[in-house]
Amino acid sequence: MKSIKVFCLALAVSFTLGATLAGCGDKAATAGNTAEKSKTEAAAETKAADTKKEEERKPEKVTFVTQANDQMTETEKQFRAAYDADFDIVALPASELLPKIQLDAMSGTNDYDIYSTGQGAIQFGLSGIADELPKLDDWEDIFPGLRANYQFGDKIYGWPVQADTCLLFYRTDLLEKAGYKEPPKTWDEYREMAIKMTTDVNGKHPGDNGFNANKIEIYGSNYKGGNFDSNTWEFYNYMLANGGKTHDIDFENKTYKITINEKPAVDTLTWVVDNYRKYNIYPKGAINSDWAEFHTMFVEGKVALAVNYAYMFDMAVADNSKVKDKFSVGLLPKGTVKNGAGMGGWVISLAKGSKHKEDALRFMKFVASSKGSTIYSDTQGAMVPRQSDFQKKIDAAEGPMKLKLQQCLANLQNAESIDLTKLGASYDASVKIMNATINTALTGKVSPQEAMDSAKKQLEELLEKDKFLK
Amino acid sequence: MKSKSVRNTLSIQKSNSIFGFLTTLPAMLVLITLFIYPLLFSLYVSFTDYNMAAVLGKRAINFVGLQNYKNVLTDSAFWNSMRVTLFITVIAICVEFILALALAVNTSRIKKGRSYFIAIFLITIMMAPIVVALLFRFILNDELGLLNLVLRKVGLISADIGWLSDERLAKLSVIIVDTWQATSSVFLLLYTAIIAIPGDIFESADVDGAGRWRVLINIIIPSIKNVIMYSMVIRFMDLFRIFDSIFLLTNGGPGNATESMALLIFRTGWTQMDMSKASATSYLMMLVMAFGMILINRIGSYEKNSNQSGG
Repeated sequence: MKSIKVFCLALAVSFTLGATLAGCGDKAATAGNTAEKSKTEAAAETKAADTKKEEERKPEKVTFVTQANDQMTETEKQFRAAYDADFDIVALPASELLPKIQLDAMSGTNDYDIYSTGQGAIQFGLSGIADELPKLDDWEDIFPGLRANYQFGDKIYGWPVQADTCLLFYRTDLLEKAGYKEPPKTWDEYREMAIKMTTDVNGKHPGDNGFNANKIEIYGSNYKGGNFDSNTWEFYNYMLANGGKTHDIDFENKTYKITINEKPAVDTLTWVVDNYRKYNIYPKGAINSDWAEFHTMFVEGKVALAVNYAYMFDMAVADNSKVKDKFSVGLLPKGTVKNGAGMGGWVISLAKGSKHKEDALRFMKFVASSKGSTIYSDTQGAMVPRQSDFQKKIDAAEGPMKLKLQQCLANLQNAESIDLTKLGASYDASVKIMNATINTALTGKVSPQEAMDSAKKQLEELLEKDKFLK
Repeated sequence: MKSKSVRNTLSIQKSNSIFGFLTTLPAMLVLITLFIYPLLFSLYVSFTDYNMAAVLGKRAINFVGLQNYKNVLTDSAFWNSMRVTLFITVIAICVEFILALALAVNTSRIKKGRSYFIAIFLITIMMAPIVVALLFRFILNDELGLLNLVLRKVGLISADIGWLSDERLAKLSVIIVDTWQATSSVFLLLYTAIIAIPGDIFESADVDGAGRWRVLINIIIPSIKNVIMYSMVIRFMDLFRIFDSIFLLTNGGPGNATESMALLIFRTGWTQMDMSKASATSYLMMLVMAFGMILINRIGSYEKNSNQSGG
């Protein structure tokens, strides 16, 4: 009996300890390896320094963390074929990417050497978890708006690996039916055309006698109005065209002013809210819409005009699309100031706590090079960051793809940085504030001015709390 | 003087107690380290000004007393989230119980093929909450959703219903999604309690001419009251912490119509990196939950006492 008890006790202890260690396994292994590696690295570096002229040091494996998607396997495969050293790619879901990078850096774990994110470069740089980078040799060849996206003053915190911007998508058949020969050139024209193309089950349009806003068959336009990041990204296309911005930063004196509640931004929000509540050109569900609902509505043939990123083009030309051969793409219309567009894209940054900085920079130079960024963009279905590479792609393309690339280039040349990226560590929280602000304004509970006043207050409190620029 | 057999018995009992303690000790230590310590640490954080600036080393962490709690209690977002959470919790509990009880009672009456019905009801428990939320996000979509399509086809509606776009309906949609998934777990508890009721009680009721409704009110419900109370407490705790479905369905929108307390805490702590305020909100939420649980238990005890005293 006693031996059975001892056995059971030993089993309970080992099971509990085993379960605990399994959960901490990676960290423990990493910590153990790190301690060992530090000693080995020091020895290796000493030896390499001694024999540098005689032989080349083999680059150490670096860890590259990025967003998970279906195409990443192909990207990794092509990188491995083209790059002459080993690396690990850690692919995380979009919602976990920024928090996990911050956690890795701030906890001191530093498992990641290179961060690849959409807009996190300046945030990481100002948070002190990403290193400043030198200019690439062909820095001026990269689209200006894209370069600015990852620069704070004259400090560069990321090298772009792909460019992205929005296009104007329009239904050629519906435009013709409504009596238009060309897509809209201004946002006012856009609304006017959208109203004329919004059709209920009886063929009536907003403003017509007997128009039924509850039974609309085709919507003139759409908007990603849900409480999600896509909301703010779309909003910027309109706001930049009206000369609006979130803030003014004086880099020299390290001061800032929040300008989101000034006329250009408020007028832009009023325009969006009126489209939804007054003119009924957006679907009712737009207030909860994210990427998936938005592009599905267009591809299913329920929307006449839309503003979205270039990825939607590939979906719209697919065989199962209901708008194949019935749509085209063009330049985003002009606002009160200019033809604007928000510059999206993808960037790589160097982790400040990287244990293999030299090798990480070597890999980064490859990924950010013309060759590497072309692999990245091609496999991800995105656009190359260099103007010269872009032109080569246009020259080589045919048919619909050529049109897509030509219009992408036109919009990329107007595209500007989303200025929220300049808010450093407060970037993610500031985007969430903007998402909620626009979403709340769409409910009609507050006026656009009230919504933006509230956003200004929240942004000021946030930046004060986070000691922005201090 | 204790006899040898009594001494042996006591010795064995003591040995068993020590053995029981030793075998649970490792698990208790793990629990203390991974649960109690973070709990106490977050309590400490709730009395400081620990936020992003402090994390980045831009300033020291200072003790601020009850300031965070005051900030939370004067924040309209907190009260909004409390209203939203209470609304969803109370309505969902009522709906789930009525449905679960109806299912459990009727399933217990099935003579043949009962296990197939139970298996079907339990499918929803096996689905991850995130998967359910994603599915319902499309089912409930105004223009593209399956629900509106079906309702239009059968002629129940002529215009699409804004399940997720209307502020009032968005809360009901969250309740629908939670009910769809969680009713089966309540059903299981109630069903096993009902089938444990001795059969002769039902036979006596039958002989006395009691109808189904009478049997439900006077026999079934009183017999399984403890299980009802227990499952209400469990569901209250689960619903009060509701997060996954709201995060994916509406992310707290439209406006802040579906922003639950858990979502507010997530935003405050994880997006704004204001750990101290998030911790304070968490503790206030815990107090409300504790109050709710005590209230439910008290109601259950009151009912039991009044029955025993012949009321």
